[in-house]
Amino acid sequence: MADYKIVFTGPVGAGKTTAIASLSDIPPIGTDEAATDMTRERKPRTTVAMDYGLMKIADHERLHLYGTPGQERFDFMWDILTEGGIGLVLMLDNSRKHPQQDVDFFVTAFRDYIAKTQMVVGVTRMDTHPAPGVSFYHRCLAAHGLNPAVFEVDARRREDVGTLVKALLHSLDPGLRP
Amino acid sequence: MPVTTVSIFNVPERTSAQFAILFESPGWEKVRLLTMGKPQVGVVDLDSSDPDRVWKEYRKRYPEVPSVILSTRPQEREGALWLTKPVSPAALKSAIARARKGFAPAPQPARTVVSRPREDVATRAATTALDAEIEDRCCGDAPDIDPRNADDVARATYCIQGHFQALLSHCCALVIRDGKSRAIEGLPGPFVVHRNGIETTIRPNVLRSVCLIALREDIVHLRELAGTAPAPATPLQPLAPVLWQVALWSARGRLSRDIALDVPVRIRHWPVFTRWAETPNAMRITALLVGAPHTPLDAALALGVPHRHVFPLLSAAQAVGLLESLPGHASTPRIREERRSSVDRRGETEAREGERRESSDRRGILRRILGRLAGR
Repeated sequence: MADYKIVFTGPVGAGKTTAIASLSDIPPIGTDEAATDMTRERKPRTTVAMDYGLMKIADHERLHLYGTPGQERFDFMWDILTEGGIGLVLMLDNSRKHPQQDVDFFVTAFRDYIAKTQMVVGVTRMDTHPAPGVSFYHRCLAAHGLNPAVFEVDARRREDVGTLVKALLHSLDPGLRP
Repeated sequence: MPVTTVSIFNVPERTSAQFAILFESPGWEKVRLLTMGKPQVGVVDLDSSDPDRVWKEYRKRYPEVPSVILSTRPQEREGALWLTKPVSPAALKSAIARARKGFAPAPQPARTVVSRPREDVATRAATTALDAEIEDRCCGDAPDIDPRNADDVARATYCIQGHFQALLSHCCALVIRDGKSRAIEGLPGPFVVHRNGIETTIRPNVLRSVCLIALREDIVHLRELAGTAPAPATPLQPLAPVLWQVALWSARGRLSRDIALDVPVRIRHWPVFTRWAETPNAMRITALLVGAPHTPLDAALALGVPHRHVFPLLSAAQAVGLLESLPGHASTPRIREERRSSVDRRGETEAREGERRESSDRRGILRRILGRLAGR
């Protein structure tokens, strides 16, 4: 059995769990529990260990979809999650107060992983919070020397999340034929 | 490609006559309606109270003929491709061509695909139809050009001046500069550009037609809206996706004359493909040109894609300010692995061979994930 992995990360409530559920062939396995700290304001239940989904690619190939916990206090999990991964999907919530801080935090936390693989960025809640726009995130990422795909997404829509992952695959290999 | 003979089954006489007219139209020279004998492709309408019975009758009459099923409901039948209604002419043409070729290109490692959600059946058919429509409307079907042939170059390039794309770009620039809304008058419906979006009730297929004709300045013109513009009667459409779409329609497989064929270009950022129209191979072309500048022709060569896929994407990227021309910059074509000659490979060391195999394995898995996402 060959196993591959894509890691979804981002702040609490950005849509990681939902995005994984949109793609997964199995009911996603979550480790949510009632939030007991400041995260409760954004999401009544939050992922404490990780989310897990699975896409069956072929008889002997599976793509694992891992979601990191949104809370910084669980960041020791991240190195374990990213081991052997093929890329990173950073989910950002456009309604948060300090989006630049979110970008800086996650890009710094996953710097080594991004250097080895590729990343794409999905921005949620742009329908209700149109500002800042996609170009704002491009500027934030450019400050880190990065120029990944940044797409507006609705994490509930498989088409949106699929397009984001397709961009990740083409970023890894532009020669990839559909 | 030779002429494909097609028979239509289980449609009313009136619809049959419409098919006959369609197949006689320009662009359908390679399809011929057959009323007697065995066709090369069958088209069958399965929207009936008993689709199983219709299919059985159809197969009795045309056993083993590659078929295209028209239906509003998902249909999985052996040797047939399903098109969901309403079916566009472009999607039908593409489906007939695919059926004629035995549904090529066959999705690679089809045998290894495991069971998957039912949704994918519908997704695959819908995607096929949509892809064909987008390709027809934005890329056309022109062959690759020889850049040394002036006629080829003239055919594959276009000037936006005097067309709707130029007027819309100019209007957007004015509105962004001074914040004053403007109406484009003389179109087949209201079209108002506000700073935060476009207000229009013109249907996309009508707007596409407007993009393809030269506009008369005495009929179509801008008018600045005095004072505060009234509240929009329809939801506003963001400027960039509309401008992007208008540029794709206007280009229809061609390159804007403002972009040189022999000057390297770079795409500054990825277009927002979750919200903007994605043309065939758009992601591959974008990934290449975000990473390294190439001339338009080198980009097509490096990826092994038709010029008609590269040109409209670059024209649209330029329309929304995402394209950067880099005169004097070296183009860096990445020739596809499979195009490298065997002579080139002879000198490879074992280590390089190993690397190549690893890269090929990796491409294989990425390709299979991509296929899975596309519903194949």
